[in-house]
Formats: sequence, structure tokens, C-alpha cells
Amino acid sequence: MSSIIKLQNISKIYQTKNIETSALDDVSLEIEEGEFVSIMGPSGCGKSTMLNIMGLLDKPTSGTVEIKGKNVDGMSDKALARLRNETLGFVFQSFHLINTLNIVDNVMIPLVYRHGAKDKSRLAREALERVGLSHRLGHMPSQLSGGQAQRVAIARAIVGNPSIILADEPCGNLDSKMGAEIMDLLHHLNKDLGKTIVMVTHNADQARQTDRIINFFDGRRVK
Amino acid sequence: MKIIFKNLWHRRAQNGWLFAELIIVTFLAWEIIDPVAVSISDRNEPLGYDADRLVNLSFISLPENAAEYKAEEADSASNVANSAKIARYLESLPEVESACFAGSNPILNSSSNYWDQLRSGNPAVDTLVKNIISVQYEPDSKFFETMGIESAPGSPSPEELSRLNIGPREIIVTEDYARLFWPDENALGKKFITVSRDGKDTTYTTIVGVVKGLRYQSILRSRCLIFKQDRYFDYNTDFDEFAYTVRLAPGVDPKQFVADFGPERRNKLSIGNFRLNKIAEQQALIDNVEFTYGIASNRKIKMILCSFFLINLILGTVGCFWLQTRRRVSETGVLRSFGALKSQIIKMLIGESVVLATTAFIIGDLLYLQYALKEGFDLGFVNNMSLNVIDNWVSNFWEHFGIVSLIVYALIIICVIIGTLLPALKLSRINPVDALRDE
Ligand SMILES: Nc1ncnc2c1ncn2[C@@H]1O[C@H](COP(=O)(O)OP(=O)(O)OP(=O)(O)O)[C@@H](O)[C@H]1O
Ligand SMILES: [Mg+2]
Repeated sequence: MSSIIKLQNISKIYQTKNIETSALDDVSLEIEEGEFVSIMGPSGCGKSTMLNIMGLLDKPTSGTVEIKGKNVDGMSDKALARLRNETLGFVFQSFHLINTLNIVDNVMIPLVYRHGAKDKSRLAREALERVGLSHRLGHMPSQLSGGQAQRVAIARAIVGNPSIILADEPCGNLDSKMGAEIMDLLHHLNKDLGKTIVMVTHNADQARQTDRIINFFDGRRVK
Repeated sequence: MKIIFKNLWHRRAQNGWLFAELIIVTFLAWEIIDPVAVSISDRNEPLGYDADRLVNLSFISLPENAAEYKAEEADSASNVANSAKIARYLESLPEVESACFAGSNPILNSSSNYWDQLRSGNPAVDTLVKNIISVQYEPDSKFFETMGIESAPGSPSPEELSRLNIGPREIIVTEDYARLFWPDENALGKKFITVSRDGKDTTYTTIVGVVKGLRYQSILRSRCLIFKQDRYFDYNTDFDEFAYTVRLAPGVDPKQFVADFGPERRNKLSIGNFRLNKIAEQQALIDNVEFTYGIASNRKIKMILCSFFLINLILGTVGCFWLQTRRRVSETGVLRSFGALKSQIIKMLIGESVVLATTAFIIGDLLYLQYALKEGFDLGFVNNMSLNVIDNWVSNFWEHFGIVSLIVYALIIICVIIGTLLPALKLSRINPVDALRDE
């Protein structure tokens, strides 16, 4: 199997005024296509930073990122945006739904920025059906429970049919029952749709259900 | 595009204020921009003659107690002969194409003028009586060609008109004036009726020439004038002032001509008891009239008011959108993480304000239309309303509404775009990771 994400010797240093914070220090890792990987580690050890670099939202200070065998170093903003749009789907701890759009429109966002996308509304409804929310189509985000909001966010992450889903503590703001529902959903996406999933979590139980756990400590991988 | 409307709709509570503001802004912008547009248009409306090639020279006659006074040259015949010498000298100058005796004042754009009342001899418009400015010009003075007045089709040429010996019952009129009485016919040879006060005597005045419309003063919008001959020295036995207008050759700068008019030339123009008093280009005269009537300062005040208003509009929108966009940082983070480009974010935000401003403009514009239907538009300087206004966009209601609407819309949109661009640029520059962290 080929690795779909390959990070080599990644370092990330945040420069704020006089203080240099080293968030990641020479991290290398590979993720295979179809894998469900969880990343664990104490707070502030660089997990989110790692995920953002994988998601092309942030650039490493040094090291190389390859997505689907392509080195993203030196890619234009436009090419990066396109890669994000077509290959990656994000799920955030605090959902990040857009309050002024109803849930169908929220789910449609990745398609709005995809060149030549058709049937946007139908695809959005299908994605919502897949996460079990087909009865809530006209609702606004503020009318949803946390679990429902996160399911909308997952629908948004999969609507564009990306091969990779990056989830930063997707159950972090949910109670255990809703968290379990979300985990079921992610497993379904991984098993039945073959999505590669990288998930940051603090929950050891959830991590144990995944194919592989990567442990971080203080900006480094723990072998 | 759809996202723009949805965003606006769901943000209607926040946008309501801006929307209401923009409606009021449209209304006020009309009120302020309309007079400026009319004023600028009036100024740029062609005068109808070659003002930019004319220079006026005014002469005075020496008083009898002056040392150089020559009693033997004080009679009417010498005055006429000496005035003709002045004309010949002026025309001998290389920069000068022709010179025209102008009576006591430069003929066009003088601050004093005569008014006449004429009634049409056309039975169809018989009751029409129109006040009209009457221009008195000197016979045999090359008046029409010097001023650059063009003759109407079918009428004698300017040179021929100047040479015509016109009797007291004959006049030359502008096309625009003639059209009021004979809308569909050539007015050449037609007659006006003048009825005496007691109503007993009826006299006829025949049109012997028709010229293209021109404006007597730049502050008047009317192109209606009549021309009568009047032999200045016959009527003014004890005059002390008269003027010449010269037409410069093509390419000669009137300002330069005036500046270079040195002592040698002045000396040459000291003929008989006449002395050159002042020399000034026609434009200086025009500016002076505008100044006298307060048109120039009025225009300046309006322009200042207008720019002040527009700057405020920009600042207002910047402020409004600034507050809004600050709350939308995480939204842009989300959009960016799902593949939106910086430019798409900017376009979306600008699109929102353009849609908002356009809708508000349409409402404000229609409101102003209601007002204008009642009150009418600003028609510029009052004098223009008293008399046969020329037929341009200013006096045509719908054309006026359309043109000023477009100007107002364009200015509002430009201000709103500038006002949105600043916050939008800032927003689009925030790195998506930082934007997502913002809660
Ligand atoms: N924009 C930034 N500027 C400066 N320092 C930063 C920035 N973002 C992250 N850091 C620092 O980098 C380190 C790693 O942060 P990161 O958010 O990746 O941690 P994390 O493992 O996700 O923690 P948590 O489990 O609490 O989410 C932390 O020390 C943090 O303070
Ligand atoms: Mg984190």
C-alpha cells in the first residue's frame, strides 16, 4: 500500500515577539491509504499544529509534506486551495458551522468552491442523509444539538468526496453518548467509504478503536 | 452568488442599519450631487461661439483738461476715423485674424444687456410673447466672423451677415429662438409683430438672418438671442469708453497675447484722443461674470460639500463593514479550509455590499423620484428658468433623472467598494489557522 500522507522531518517554530515556541521538532510520519489513525498526547504538544500542516492550512518551518505522492512545497496558493478542496475534509472540535447559512448551505460550501460542481444541493442532501440528518434540512446551526452540529460538519467534510478526513478532537465538545455516535459515523466512513481518517483525540477508548495510535510528547513523536 | 444573498438575508438584523443608512445616503446624495452635476454641465455646455480665441481691448477718451488732449480730433467724424485706425492697427498684428468694434462693452458676455419682447407673426403661435436678450452690434464691424458665430443652414454666411445693412425693422435671430415661433419652418424672411402700448400701431420686424444658437453669458442656459444693428458713435456724442474684440489666429494663446501686449503696441494704439485702458481675454470676462453672480463660489461650495459627503460615505461604510467583518473571521477560516481563495473571499464580501448598496439605492432613488415629481429638479441658476431653456438633459425630466441616478449610483458603489475593500483585504490576509482559532 502506498502512503497517502507523508511528512518528513517536519519542524514548526512559532515566533511571537521575543519568544520562540517550538511546536514540532523533526517529526516524520506516514499514513497509508484507508487507514484510521489517531493522534494522542498531552495538551500543547503540537497535535493540532501537526494536523494543520497535514491539512495544508499551515506551512512547516522546515521539512516536506507529500499528499498523494505530491510534494506540496512551493505550490501556489491556488493549487493548495484546490488540493484542500478536492482531497481534504476537515472536522473541527468546535464544529465551525456558519451561523447565517442553513445546514444544507453549510454542507454545500466545499462544492461552491469546486470548479464545475453540479447538483450541489442534491449532493449536500445525500451527505446529510449519510450522517442521519435528512429530517433537519432547513434548520439553522443554532437550532441543532452539539452532536447534530458535528454530524453536519462531518457531512460538510465528506460532501466533496475527499480521500482524507482530518478531525481535530471531533468529540471534544460532546458528551460520551454523542461522542460514541460520532465515532460510529467515522468508522462507517472509514470502513464503508474507504476514507483515510486522521483524528486527534484525548480519549484513549476512542483511540483504541482505530487502526493505529501515534503518540506525541512535547513536539516529538513517541516511538 | 447565492451565498451572497443568503448571507445578507440571514444577517438582515445587522445589515438593516447599513441598509437604512444607504437609502438615506442615496436621497441626500441626490440632493447634493444634482446641483453639482447641473452646474458642471452648464459650465461645459458649449457657448456657441469661439470664446477661447477672443481678446477684448477697452479704450478711453482723454478728458478735455489732459495735457495730450487734441480739441481738433474731438468731433464725431474724427472719432469714427480714429476708431477705424485702431481696427486697422489691430488687424495688422500677426496674431490677429480680425477685429470688431464692440461699442461701450464687449458685446457677448457683457454684464449689461437689453431685453426685447416680440410676438410671432405665425398664426399658429400667435399669442406667444417671449422676452429675449437683444444684442446690439456695430454695422460693418465683422461682428459675426470675429465672434465665431456660425450661420444656420440656408442663411447668409457670417461675413455676409456682418456686411448686411440692416434697417430698424430687420433682425437676425438664433435658430433656437426662431424655433419657438416657427417650429417646423425656415424662419428666414418671417416676420415678428410688435404692437404699440396703446394697441393702435402694429409694426413688423423681418428676420434677415438666422445663426446657430449661442449663450450670451455662461451662466445662462438659453441659446436664444436676437441681433440688431446700432451705430455707436451716432448715439453717443459724449462717450468716454468703448471696446474692441479681436479674434486671434488659430493656435495663438490669448493669455500669452495679453501678457505680451507691451508698451510699443500700447503706444501705437494711442490714436487721436483714444488710449488703451484694459486688455483681457474673453475667458477672464466670463469668469468675472460668474464671479459677480456668485456662480463660481456657489459651485466651489457645492463641490466641497459634495466631496465631504462622499468621504463621509466611505468612512461610514468602512466603519459599518469593519464591525461586521470582524465578527466573520472564523467564517473566512472555514471557507479557506474548504478551498476558498483569498480573492474569492474578497469578492464575496464586496458582492454582499454591492448587492446591499444596489438595493438600497433603488429604493432611495425611487423615493427621490417621488420627491422630484413634486418639487422638480435643481435647474441651476435662476435666470435660466425665466426664459426659453435650451433642450438638454437638464431640462428633460426623465433624462435628468436617469443621468443623475447613474452618477449617484456610480459614486455610491465606488464609495461602498472602497469601504468594503479595506476590511475585506484585512480579513482575507488572516491565515486560516489563526482565523479558525478565533471564536
Ligand atoms: N499561532 C501560534 N503562535 C504561537 N504559538 C503557538 C501558535 N499555535 C500554537 N502554538 C504553540 O504551539 C504548541 C503546540 O500547539 P498545538 O495547538 O498544536 O497543541 P495541541 O497538541 O493541539 O494541544 P491541545 O491538545 O490543547 O489542543 C503550543 O505550545 C502552543 O502554545
Ligand atoms: Mg489542539
